[in-house]
Amino acid sequence: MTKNTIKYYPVCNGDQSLITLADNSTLLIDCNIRESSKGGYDEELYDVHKDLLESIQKDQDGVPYVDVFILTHGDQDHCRGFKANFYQGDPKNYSKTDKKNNLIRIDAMWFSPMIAEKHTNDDESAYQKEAERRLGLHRKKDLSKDNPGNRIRIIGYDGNNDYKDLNHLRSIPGDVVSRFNDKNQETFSIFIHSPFKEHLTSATKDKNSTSIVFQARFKERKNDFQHSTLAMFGGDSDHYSWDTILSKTKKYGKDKSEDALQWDIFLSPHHCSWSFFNDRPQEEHVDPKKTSLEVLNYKRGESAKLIASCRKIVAEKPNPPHDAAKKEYVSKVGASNFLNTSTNEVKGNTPQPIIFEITSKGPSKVFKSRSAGAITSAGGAGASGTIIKQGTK
Amino acid sequence: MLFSNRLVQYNGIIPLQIKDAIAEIKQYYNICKLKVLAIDDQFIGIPVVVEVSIPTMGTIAEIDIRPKEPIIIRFNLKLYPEYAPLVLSDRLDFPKNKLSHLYASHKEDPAKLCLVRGNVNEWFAGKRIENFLDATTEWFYKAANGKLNDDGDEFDPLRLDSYTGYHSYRYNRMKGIIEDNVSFLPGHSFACLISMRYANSDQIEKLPNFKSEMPVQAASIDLVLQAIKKAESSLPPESKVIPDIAILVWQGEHKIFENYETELPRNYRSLKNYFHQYSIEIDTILQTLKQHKYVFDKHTPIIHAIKRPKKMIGFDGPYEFINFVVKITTQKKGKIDDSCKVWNQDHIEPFSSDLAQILTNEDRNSSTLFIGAGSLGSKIIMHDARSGKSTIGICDDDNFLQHNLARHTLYADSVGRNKANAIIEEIKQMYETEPRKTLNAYPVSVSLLSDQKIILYNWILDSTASLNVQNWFVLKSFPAEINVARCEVVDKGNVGLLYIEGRNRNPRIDDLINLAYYRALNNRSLAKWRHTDATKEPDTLNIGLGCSSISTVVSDDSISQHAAIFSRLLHNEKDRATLKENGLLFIHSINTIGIPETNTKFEVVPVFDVYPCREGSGWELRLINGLRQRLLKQCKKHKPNETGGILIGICNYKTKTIHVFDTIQAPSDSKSCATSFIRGIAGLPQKVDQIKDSTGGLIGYVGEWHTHPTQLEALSERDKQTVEELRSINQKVPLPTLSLIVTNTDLLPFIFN
Repeated sequence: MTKNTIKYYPVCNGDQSLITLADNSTLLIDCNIRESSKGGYDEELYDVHKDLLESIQKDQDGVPYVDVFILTHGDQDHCRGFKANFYQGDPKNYSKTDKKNNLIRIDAMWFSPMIAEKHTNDDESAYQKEAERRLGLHRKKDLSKDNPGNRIRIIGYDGNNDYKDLNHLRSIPGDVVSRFNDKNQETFSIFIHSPFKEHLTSATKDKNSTSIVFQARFKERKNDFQHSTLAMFGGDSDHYSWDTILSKTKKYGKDKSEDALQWDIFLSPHHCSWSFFNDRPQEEHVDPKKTSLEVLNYKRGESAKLIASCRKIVAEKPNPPHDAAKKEYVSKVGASNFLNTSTNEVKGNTPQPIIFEITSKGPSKVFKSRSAGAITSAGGAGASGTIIKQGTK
Repeated sequence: MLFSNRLVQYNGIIPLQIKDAIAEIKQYYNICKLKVLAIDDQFIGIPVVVEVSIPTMGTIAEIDIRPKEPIIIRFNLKLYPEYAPLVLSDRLDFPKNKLSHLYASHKEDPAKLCLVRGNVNEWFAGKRIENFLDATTEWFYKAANGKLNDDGDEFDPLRLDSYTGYHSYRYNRMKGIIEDNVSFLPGHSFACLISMRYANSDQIEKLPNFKSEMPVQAASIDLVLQAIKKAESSLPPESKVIPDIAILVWQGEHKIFENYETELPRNYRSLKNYFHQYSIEIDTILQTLKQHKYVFDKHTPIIHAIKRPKKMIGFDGPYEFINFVVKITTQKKGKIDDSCKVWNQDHIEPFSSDLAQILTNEDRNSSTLFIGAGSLGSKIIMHDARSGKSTIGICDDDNFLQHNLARHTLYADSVGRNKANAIIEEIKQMYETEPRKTLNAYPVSVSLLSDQKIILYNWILDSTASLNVQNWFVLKSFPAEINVARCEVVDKGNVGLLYIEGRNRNPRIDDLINLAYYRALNNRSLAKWRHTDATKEPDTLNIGLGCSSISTVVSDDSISQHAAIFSRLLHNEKDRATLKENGLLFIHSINTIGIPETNTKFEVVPVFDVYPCREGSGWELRLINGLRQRLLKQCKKHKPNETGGILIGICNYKTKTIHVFDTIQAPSDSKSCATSFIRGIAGLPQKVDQIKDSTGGLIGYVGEWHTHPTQLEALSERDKQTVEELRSINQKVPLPTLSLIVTNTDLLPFIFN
């Protein structure tokens, strides 16, 4: 049987993660697909699009699809490439050209009403438009509303737009979701932490503080009491969000009844930004908030992993990523457990995804061969697809 | 406590190939300096630390594998790279008894990792040190993550890195005896088995092989022993098969044991202790048998059944059988002496099918050294032998096993013997009345065969299908008068390939083998083979236990057909009547579906143009005939402008050779002038990928060529810059970077790692 895995793609400063379940269901969290990364011609960029296509399933007609797409929030570095690489519109109209263009169908999308508030980029607008199309089908009670490609779940509360008539599609912070793409999962679930109502209605709200934050939970067996792996996904959430997450989770006892704060893998919010620890600029707010440090104390085991999905972290560069944030994380998990997507696995000059397999004793980073295979070799399109300049001068 | 603390620095001479390997180890682990330790006269060890990915809450099943595991990479000073390196754990407290895929080793010795199923030397012949180190890291990853047993819910057997002879019996029969409790005496947990003892002069101390069948109980043992005695006394002393009794023992309460044995007994005292751990008193069992008139005057085979928590890999039950032979030599006051020797034997499943062969008679007068006496080789040898060829040498270090009976020319009475010895003996027996000194068996690895022996022959035929032997052939120098050929059967027996080198070893064997890959582009049989090869599962079927019993399923008649036509061709071309100076690629295809069809195609292959790297990197460029002229013409045609393109072929890191079979000329978007050439890309990646697909991924892009009509016989500054750019792209494959400069009169290859 295939194992459950979590893959963190190297997308520079940005997020794209893929959860693959043992039944091959896939949950894509954010996307950051640069056109320049396609084809492997830029050796500093990993071809995330090719990898994604190879990692997800195809239906009986050969149409590639993800079971669930969770957009944590609408910033460009979380939804880049959505418009160009994912199919939008009635799934019945998916054409041969769409297939030739490898457009990925999203069977079920998770949608935060915050996205409806303010679109700042084309990809975010496309996501909102597709969500509204699907919500429209549900409002109209269209017969196709529950078909793959039309499914949708609303995450969190409403902002200015009103989706109260669709509350049956809604999950709010504190909820545990175990049905994905119209299929119940027995050993996988998601605990929703955020966004909170007060953040959506705050006058100073921004996209980051209203990110969807959730905990992905894996069990070895259906009736196990303990989760074998808990992975926290925080979008670009800031220390204010985490303060609220901490207090509300404890207030309702979910820290104990659901282990909702514990983690084995923590995707550092906002690409290893100081904003998780305190306000920016860091120089003016040098001390990390106690609440943020408390969140990190919920790590399990001696070698819990901290993922920094960002470019290489250097002291001189402004955040994100922020070297001071890295130091705080390292002090909690140790240097060997702090994994930067840009530097952790690099083949030639190309960063590689970090992949964890879910074992009964927690996540374990998958071994990836460094070598090519045999003693004999011959190149493929690599060098032959590169323009070569030669000459006597 | 580290094993390496016991070792001292090695100050002797390190062979060049091991130096290269050490350089690769440094590069892999990104360290500047490595210690070289002396293990003994034969081995040196390189200590390094492997980083292991461990689940965040510890290893699966609490196995004591750590995030940083110290290891020693052990090299054989004389036999590397034919003998692969071995990985030893440097930790003397390594959890040897908790893990599979370890070779059994003495308590004080470090754990020895079994990295691959099958023959590790053969696997390594096709790999680089980088692959070996990857396999090592993967071994630790699997150990920490509970994935060492690839077969999931099945139990991996104990690895024996050495054993003496075989004990043949049906697994399911032994399992049935235990499950049905067919014990020798009621209430006991052992059975007596009627066996056959096969005399074996090849083994140390003439330790026999055994074949065991049905159980015999106490009530009838008297009669059986009498019958054995009678048979023994009536058989002539040289008789090779003698009836005997074997003993099968198991733990009476059917307890399950998970641990692996780290050290197997070597004398009777340790055997008693060994069985005692399993709550089995072997001495009591033997004394019970003695009371039933069992006589301790010979080798006594004992099979120990260990019940495992899961089904054994490859077998239909949870019992792992460990086979011992005790040579009960002395007795004091009726007791068995503690110092009696004990050996381990391998278990093999018996084979019962008959073989049939039709051979023709013909006189043949060339002298041939056969490397490999497997199914294909043995049949060609016997064609020659039955035709009266008087000078035959056979080099093979392998023993003949039961499952070889399916396709080999030898019969069941040779089971357990060295193949080379056994075949030569068969041939000698054919010519009993005229003993010949020119029939020689060399029961050693080909790399150990001395030049004095090789020069006795004017033909060498390699039928091993071994990459290790192929590499040895490529790197070996032979006298000019020796002809070299190789044959192999591929694509499940559907295609047979015979390669004959040209005179003076040009075209060489690797030129011809790689040419066969390239010809898949326009030969349907080869294309099917390359496709099947590229898409097959990497792991092969295990027949029998252990790491050295991999086999493929090919019918005997297919092998015979290929053998027959190869034999005919080699005989007809013994004086190179058709070939003259050239080499040969001969393809024999069989369609076995319906009414069988056969088809032959051949290509007489002229000499390759050979160029050493101009930079002295040790790499060599070998161009198929005709390419040189084609490239020189291009230079003239485009003069005064430069032109260029890419080279299509294959490179081999072990022999440091690039074979080129074709060129692709400047794509349409290329630009050129008198002093520069910009090679475009229009349609090029697609063309290369199509070639790679059609050849099973083996033939593809291997480098760039461009012309210097100004006759500049060096890389220009621009060229050097381009080489650097290409190197970073090629390293991903990996591929050496080849820049071939074509002047008006010559080709100048520059090859960089």
